[in-house]
Amino acid sequence: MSLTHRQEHDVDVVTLPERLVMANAGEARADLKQIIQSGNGRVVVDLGETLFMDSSGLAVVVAGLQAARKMEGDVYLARMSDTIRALFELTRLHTVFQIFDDEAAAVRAFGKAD
Amino acid sequence: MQREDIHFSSDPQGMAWHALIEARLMPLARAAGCNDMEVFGLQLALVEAVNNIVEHAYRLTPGQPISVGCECTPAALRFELRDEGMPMPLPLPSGEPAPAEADGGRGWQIIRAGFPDIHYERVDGVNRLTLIRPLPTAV
Repeated sequence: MSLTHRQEHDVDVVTLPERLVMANAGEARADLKQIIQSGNGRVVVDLGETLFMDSSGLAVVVAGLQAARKMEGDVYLARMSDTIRALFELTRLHTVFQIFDDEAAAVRAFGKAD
Repeated sequence: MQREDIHFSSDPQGMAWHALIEARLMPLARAAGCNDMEVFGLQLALVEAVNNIVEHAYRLTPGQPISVGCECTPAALRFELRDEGMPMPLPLPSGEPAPAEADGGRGWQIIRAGFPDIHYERVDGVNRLTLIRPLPTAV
């Protein structure tokens, strides 16, 4: 599996790899979709390990969001570096996702949404 | 003027060429005065341009030749990408932002954010995409 996955308080926490680009985006997309569809659609994507991401990587995260929302869930993002945040801002995806400084806050936010 | 050229083969499943761009070309951007965020933007735009070659010009066929040259002058950083694949469609994409939740279509937006001046020509079966980033004029 290209992603690291664990569950915390009924939320799937998925850590993306150091590089998420065209070469590994297909596998990451399939893995993320499987994780989401096996859970309840509440997902935190941890970008703390991710140093570089291209538009194929962005598409993985968007596809995850679409899968989660089909299940009436959501994808929250956590621990973005300044450069990855700049990429989300450039492509306006920062308006689509809720973004948190740390993973625990993102997990807690799902609890508050109940 | 500083110049650096890298050559590699298309590899839809590989990332080795990312390291080449980072190690051989990005030092020229840093030497030209670009900060970390600017270097990230340039590197990202170059990766998107190479992705387009791999995906569209070579239609994901591995082992096809790609070269990227970088010239740094006091006025600009100039990258030239060459490949022998299918021609690019003209006019070049405008890089308009994709709809917020669209699955794709962000590559040219990223390329144009990194390089405001872009030229394309095809000569003797070779695609030449030139990406130019003006540098602040030295005082």
